Amino acid sequence: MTRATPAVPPMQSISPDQVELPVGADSLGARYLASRTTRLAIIACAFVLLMGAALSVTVRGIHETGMADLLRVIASHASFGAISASLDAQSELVLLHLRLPRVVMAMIAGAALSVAGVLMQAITRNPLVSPYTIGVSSAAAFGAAVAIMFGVGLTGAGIYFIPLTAFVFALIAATAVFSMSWWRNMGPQAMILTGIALMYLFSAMTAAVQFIATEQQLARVVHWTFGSLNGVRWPAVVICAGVLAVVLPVMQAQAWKLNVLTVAGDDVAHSLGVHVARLRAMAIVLAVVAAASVISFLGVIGFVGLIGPHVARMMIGGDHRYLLPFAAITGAALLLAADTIGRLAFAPVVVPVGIVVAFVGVPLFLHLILSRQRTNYA
Amino acid sequence: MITLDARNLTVTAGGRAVLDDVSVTVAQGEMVGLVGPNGAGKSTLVKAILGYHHLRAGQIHCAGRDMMRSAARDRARLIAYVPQAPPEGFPVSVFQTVLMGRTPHMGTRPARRDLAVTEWAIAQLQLDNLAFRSMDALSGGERQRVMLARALAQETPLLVLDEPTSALDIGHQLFALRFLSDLAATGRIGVLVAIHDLSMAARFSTRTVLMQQGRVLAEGAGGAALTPATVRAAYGVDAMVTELNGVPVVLPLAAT
Repeated sequence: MTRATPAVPPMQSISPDQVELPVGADSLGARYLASRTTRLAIIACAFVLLMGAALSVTVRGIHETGMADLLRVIASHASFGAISASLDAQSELVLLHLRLPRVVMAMIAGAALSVAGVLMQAITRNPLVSPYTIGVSSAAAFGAAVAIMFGVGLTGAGIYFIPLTAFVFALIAATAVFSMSWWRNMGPQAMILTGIALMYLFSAMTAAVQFIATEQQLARVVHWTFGSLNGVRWPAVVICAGVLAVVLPVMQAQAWKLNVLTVAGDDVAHSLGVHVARLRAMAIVLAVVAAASVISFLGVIGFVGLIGPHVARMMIGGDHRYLLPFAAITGAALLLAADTIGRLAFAPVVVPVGIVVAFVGVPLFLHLILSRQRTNYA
Repeated sequence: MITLDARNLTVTAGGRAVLDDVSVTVAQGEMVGLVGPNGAGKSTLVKAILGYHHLRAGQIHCAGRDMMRSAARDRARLIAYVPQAPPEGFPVSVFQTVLMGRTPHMGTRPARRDLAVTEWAIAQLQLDNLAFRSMDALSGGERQRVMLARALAQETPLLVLDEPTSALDIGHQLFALRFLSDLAATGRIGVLVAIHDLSMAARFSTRTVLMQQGRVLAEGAGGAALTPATVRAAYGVDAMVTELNGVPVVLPLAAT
């Protein structure tokens, strides 16, 4: 750098009428805007690709159908029957009640877990954190185990009894972690440690429940902890989609503040007018609800909440205005790919998505880390 | 003329007063150097002014407003802050980091004027060639210049810095302090800078405040607060206070 003293022009040289963004393509502001356009284009392309992939995997399976059939079923239901689906009843049943809810749920679950991961990593300023780090998944697993063990016969909430119990326990864990950190005024690092401690506690409690379970109950508990999209029905899809439809736009509106918090830290964020405690509380609550709603219906699907954000960040950079929507897409794509492989690779055996996702995700993750370039920041 | 007026501040931690009835003012056009030994309360005073600490007693006024009752965003339009070193975080570009200085002025996304001011601030700190580098590819001195650019982009009448030069080599120290004193000399910005190097403080400050054990021990124009007697009282060090080629020098000789 040069030792010369930079000229400091009077601050009045900056006044709204005098400042025009230079039009030259090489001005810094223009370059910044260009990088924004690039990122929006990447997000749009990725979304279109994801939708195309979703349609093309929906028609694949043991009962093969054509793309035309699928489009007819979608058109028929989108128009409330005004357009007749006119295909055989079995194909329509398979597409409408097995494939479509499953594929849509895979994408929504992946998106929700990935967005929750982005939020948790942002507010703890720690890239190793995922929604599970604060004990949400093991608490949900314990709730599910309790429901499976003791809930038979008192299923007042019908098919929602296990998800509801899992959700309640996930919220209990998150509330415990959050209120402890509030009470002792702990930083994010202490909060992570508390969450990990709770995670072990709930795992031990689940193990204790399994210890006294019958063979049949044990099988169900274990299967639940794999995380699976088998038997997903539309109501579950709608609930998770509704949660995501609230969480994503609400946090998108806070995206710039998340940028400030992740880059500048608490002190500087505060000095820039960001209400750090409020932002952190909001992000935690929404991340926990998003993750817990998905886990409660599908069981424990790890890794997406950790890798989805990283893949997105490596491809599009750390600006949360683009990272949040793009992480939703990468998470959705990852879970869709994992479930499709799990569904088709050993058909008719369906491998639970929670298992496949690690087999798909880890090589991808390692590839990205090893081939990472440092240029993709703006 | 906008003045920061912190009066009779008392902050306690664990039953001990870390700030004990401290008053300090900074007006536009001034560069106030805040000196004192470790634990004297410099950082606490800086953070109290930024509103981190609960005040046991005292008031902070700026531009006729009570800062302790103001919204964070309003304060952020009056007082900008530069920490000792930027924290490790998720890496983003220099441009994006400087643009964050516009946060109190913008909505959910930057307007064209925010980009223009950012560009101007980057040019002031001679960071043009680094604008689209990742922050984690920069040296410590370059990173600190980015912090200064961000504070400048905030367009506040007051700038508060917590030992911004402590981790820098002498070249970057001179650059940063010269930059700050030129900024104050425009008459439009008041600077309060906590600083360890007494010679630098005496050289660049229009006023120096010497703190010790949570109190103001001495205060004076230029480096006048720094005499062998006050330095001995504050640091327990015998020092020679002199000038070389017109540059003030505080030379520590021996611990008493």
